[in-house]
Amino acid sequence: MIGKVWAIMIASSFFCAVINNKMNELGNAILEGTDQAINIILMTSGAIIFWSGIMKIAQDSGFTGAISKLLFPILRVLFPNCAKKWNILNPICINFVSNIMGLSNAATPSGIKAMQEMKKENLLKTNAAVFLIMNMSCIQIAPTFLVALRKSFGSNTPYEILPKMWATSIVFLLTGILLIKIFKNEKIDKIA
Amino acid sequence: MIIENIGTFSAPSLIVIILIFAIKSKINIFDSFIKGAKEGLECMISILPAIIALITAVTMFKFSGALEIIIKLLNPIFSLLKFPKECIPLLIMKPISGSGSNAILNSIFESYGPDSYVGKLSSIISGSSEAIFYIVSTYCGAIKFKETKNIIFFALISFIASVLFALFMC
Repeated sequence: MIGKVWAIMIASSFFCAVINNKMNELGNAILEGTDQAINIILMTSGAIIFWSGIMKIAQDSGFTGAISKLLFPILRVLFPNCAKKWNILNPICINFVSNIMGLSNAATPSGIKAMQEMKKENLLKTNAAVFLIMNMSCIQIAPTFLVALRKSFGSNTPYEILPKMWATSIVFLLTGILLIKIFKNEKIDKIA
Repeated sequence: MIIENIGTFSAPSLIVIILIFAIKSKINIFDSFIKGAKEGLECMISILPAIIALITAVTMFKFSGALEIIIKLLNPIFSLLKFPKECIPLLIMKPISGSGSNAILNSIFESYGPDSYVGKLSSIISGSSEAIFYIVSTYCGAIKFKETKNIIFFALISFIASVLFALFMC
């Protein structure tokens, strides 16, 4: 999908540049854009590499595992028909905690594993939606890229937005779960 | 004031908590750090091509005047909610692609600064959700699960709710 959006963006920029007589700016934009991309990577990668190191310590020392255990009671509410099915609950836990810690490398494989296990037990219909909403709500303790990007543009308080951001993520998560619980699967097909 | 401090405290205290835990667990802390940092470096290298592609496209879109046209077209709807028109492109890109919305966030920071009202609202919108279509296609695509219509529908409504919440809070 992003491929199409990308191509359409570039093509429509070309036509707009023709209409607005801005071909020179468009040519400059190609140079400036690539330049900026490299700058962003350089400006943010220090922080991201550092946090990846810290998060690896969290993983290896069993910190993430300990946090996962705290989550089980919450998961019992979110996935009521998966009770005691550890083959499903374990990867869900790893996925959720990895997301919270910003370890997207670890989150995707465990997330796919959870989906596969749900498929095997024929529990996808009710649980996939809740699980994916959890993934989309993107609750992150330390959103490294965002903070590093804010810092690179000279923000005095790059961390300041975090509490509001967490609250917004939680609103996303709760709205999604509420919608899923209110509309059981049969009714949704009529709306969407 | 307190809320601002929670944000500032979060990152350093998380590091300290993790390190205390690690010292107790007797693993080789520095080896773990180096291993993880290498993974982070690989991750940065792997996202570089996408970032170059998307930031260049966003810059072209902006310089050609196309962005202005989109904003002008959509502004009447969003101005009813007092939603700043500068954030409209982010709102469109966010559900589609993470790198794409980072590219737009970059251009917003460049024009308005990260500490402005627009900059803060964009930071919150961009950090509080993941690319909806990307998640659905990754997870559902991997196991060939096709009934994604209602998931996307719910996710988009939740996204709108979260954006309205952010707008209300800012």
